[in-house]
Amino acid sequence: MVTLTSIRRDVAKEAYRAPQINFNPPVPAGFLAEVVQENIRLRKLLAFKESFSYELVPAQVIGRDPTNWFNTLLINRGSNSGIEKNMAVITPQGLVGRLMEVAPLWSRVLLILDQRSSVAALVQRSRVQGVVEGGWKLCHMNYLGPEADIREGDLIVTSGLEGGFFPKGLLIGEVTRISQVHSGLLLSAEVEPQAEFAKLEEVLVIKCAKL
Amino acid sequence: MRKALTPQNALRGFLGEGLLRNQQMQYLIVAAVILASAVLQSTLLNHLTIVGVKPDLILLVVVFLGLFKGSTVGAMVGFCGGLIYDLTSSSLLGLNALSLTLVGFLVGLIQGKVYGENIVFQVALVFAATLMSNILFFLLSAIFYLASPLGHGLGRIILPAAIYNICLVIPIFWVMRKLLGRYIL
Repeated sequence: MVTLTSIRRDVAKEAYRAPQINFNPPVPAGFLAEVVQENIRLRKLLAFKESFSYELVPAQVIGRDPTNWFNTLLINRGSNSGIEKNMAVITPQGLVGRLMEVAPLWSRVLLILDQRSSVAALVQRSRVQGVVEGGWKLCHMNYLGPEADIREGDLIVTSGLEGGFFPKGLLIGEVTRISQVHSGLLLSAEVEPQAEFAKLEEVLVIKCAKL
Repeated sequence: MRKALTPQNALRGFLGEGLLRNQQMQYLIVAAVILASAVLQSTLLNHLTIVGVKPDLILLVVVFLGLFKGSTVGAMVGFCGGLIYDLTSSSLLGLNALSLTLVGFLVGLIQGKVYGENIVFQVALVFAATLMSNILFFLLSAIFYLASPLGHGLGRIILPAAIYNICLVIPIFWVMRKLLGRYIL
């Protein structure tokens, strides 16, 4: 009798034998490990996509800015996939940036680390509002009042005041340091983004809210 | 006797010895080198980022050709390389082209006036050229409110990039000399 347990046992035996199979043409060394890694990443992305209440378009990172001055990425999705300028780009870890240029087959993403980037944000715990601006390897949450309730370790999320492109509550990063700006009137918080920008391979573009 | 398979021999076999000596062919080779360095800059060098900066291969090519071929070639290569930077990065069109054209032209002015083979001189020249091209780019960007404060850029981008570039002077110039020495220099 064929039972679920016996099928599992057969599959396990096959999997055990798998390394001995001769592929034709032969698979280059490291290729299978690469496929396994990709599979793990895509599964995480898929699980996140299912749990998220917005329509998401997955995209692959196909290039980075060749100069030292700007932080941008190229992705392999464009207006042919229904995405538009200014849409938010995320990973399961948090916000990555926004689309600054959209062509039919590719788009350019302005990372939140770029000095030209600014995102309306709030402190998740105290709901204090500010603007997260890019600054090389870290971001800075600026325009915080001198009495603002913000501490090291606080999580910063998007406030949704972005004309509908950035949904409220997307994780941006964690506060690592708070300082007074030169004028002494306002506070500025150093925010370490949660997304790992150096290792980005796949991202998700937020298209619109699911109906 | 069979010749060794080198890029020079392959190119000579493909195009013929005489053809490689004329000026159009030299320009073609320079164009191929610029394109190859642009491709490497956008792909391989992105993985060689250290302390947030990557080496500037196109600038090294501009300095090499400016130093050994003069200001006209230096400016021309600088313009083409800078234009490729402008087209592939998110900067405004023309900012990199203008800064690299000026650098290529100025480096070319010293051709024949100094002993360009001196490694210490080459290192110093690449250091100065990196500072010059980045500061020019910074000043041009500031007009359009694109750049960060100068102190921030100087400490985190310009100086580390200059140090990174001088570390690559010896290998890159050696490769350039091996590839182009017979036809260009």
